Amino acid sequence: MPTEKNQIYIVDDDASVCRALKVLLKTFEFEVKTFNSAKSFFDAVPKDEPGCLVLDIHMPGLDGWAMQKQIFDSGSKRPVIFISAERQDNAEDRALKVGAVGFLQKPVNGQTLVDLINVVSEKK
Amino acid sequence: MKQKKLAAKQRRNRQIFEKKPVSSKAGKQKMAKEPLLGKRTRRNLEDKVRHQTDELKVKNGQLRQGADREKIADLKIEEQREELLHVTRVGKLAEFVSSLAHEISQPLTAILSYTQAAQRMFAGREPELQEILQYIINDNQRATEVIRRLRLLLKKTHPIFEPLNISTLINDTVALIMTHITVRNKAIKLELDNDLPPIQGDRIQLQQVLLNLISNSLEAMEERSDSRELLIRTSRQDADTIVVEVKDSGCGIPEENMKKLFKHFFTNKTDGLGMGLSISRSIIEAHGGRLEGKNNSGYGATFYFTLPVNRKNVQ
Repeated sequence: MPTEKNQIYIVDDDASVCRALKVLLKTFEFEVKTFNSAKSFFDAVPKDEPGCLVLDIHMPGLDGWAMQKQIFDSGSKRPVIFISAERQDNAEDRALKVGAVGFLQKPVNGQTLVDLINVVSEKK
Repeated sequence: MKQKKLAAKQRRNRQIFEKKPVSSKAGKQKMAKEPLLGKRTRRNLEDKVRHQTDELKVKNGQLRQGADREKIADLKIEEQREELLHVTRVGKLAEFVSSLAHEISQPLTAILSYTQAAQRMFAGREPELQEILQYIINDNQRATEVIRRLRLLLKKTHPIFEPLNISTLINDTVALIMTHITVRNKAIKLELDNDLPPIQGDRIQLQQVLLNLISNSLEAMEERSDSRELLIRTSRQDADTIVVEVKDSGCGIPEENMKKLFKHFFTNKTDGLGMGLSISRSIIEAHGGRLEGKNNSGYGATFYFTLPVNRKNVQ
């Protein structure tokens, strides 16, 4: 049974990015589930199921910002880390402002991502 | 009798088919018998035509006089249209680069993650494999850096003006590109006037201009193996202005390209974007200076820009 500490969800419309991040995070002993859209995540994961969400911003359908807002508005305390290949100057500030844990520019360095995930887990 | 009738019929038919009733005898007779217009009406009409012809002549003259003016106006419109197209193209290019950067960053993310995963899986083992994995990561970072710079190049930012020492700026810039120069078997010579007063400018933007001028010069020198030296010189033009020159001994600039050098998208390089010099010029102009290029009396070309002295910091 995965605990909040080691469960990670990745939502990114790029299947290759999902797979690669999953492979990488598994080497850090995380349980990883990937989804290619906001909808597929919401359909599969109940809001109070523990786990940190690594969320791409630029996605067709519900984008990362909108998805995080939905999670936040639902009262879920799920930690969210935004990742994006798009350059957005104020993305980090915006991410923190909307209640996310942080923002990482792609290509994401594995260790940086894991450090951020661990900070969240230790806070809990 | 029958024959006469037939002949007349044939004539009529010919008339119809040839459609020349006026030139035929029968036609002339008809016109004389039935004049289409009365004499007075005809004279009125003739007057009217004469009057209108005169008017047309005057108008024609006016048109001819205005033709040159119109040509100039046309040229201006053409210029404005070109300018507009340039702006659109630059905008489109920025858009294109941004979407290209996004598309390339995705596979780069995957490559980096896979490689870092493999590094961890083989941690402490397979030193040769570890070395290869590190090379993949290094090149991944190189590609990421290219994208970052490309984005920076097309980004509209407000420059940060601060007092700058031009010698320090040139030395720092040269340090950035030194490996590049040495690898190409070229040498750089600096003749910097270290007594120059500080200027007011954006460090990154001015470095961008210098890097652009230096790399253009290096490329111009590529074709001539005997041309090795690139010279950067600073001097004072007058009390309020300093000059920075980048002089090469390369292939020079063909006369017909001289006027187009600073136009957007003009390039004589096979892989050039034609953006470097036009962006550089707009940066220098935003700093209150001028950027020009000229051929040397001997080999090569010199590009030079002026910058106003920062009056506040002059002691």
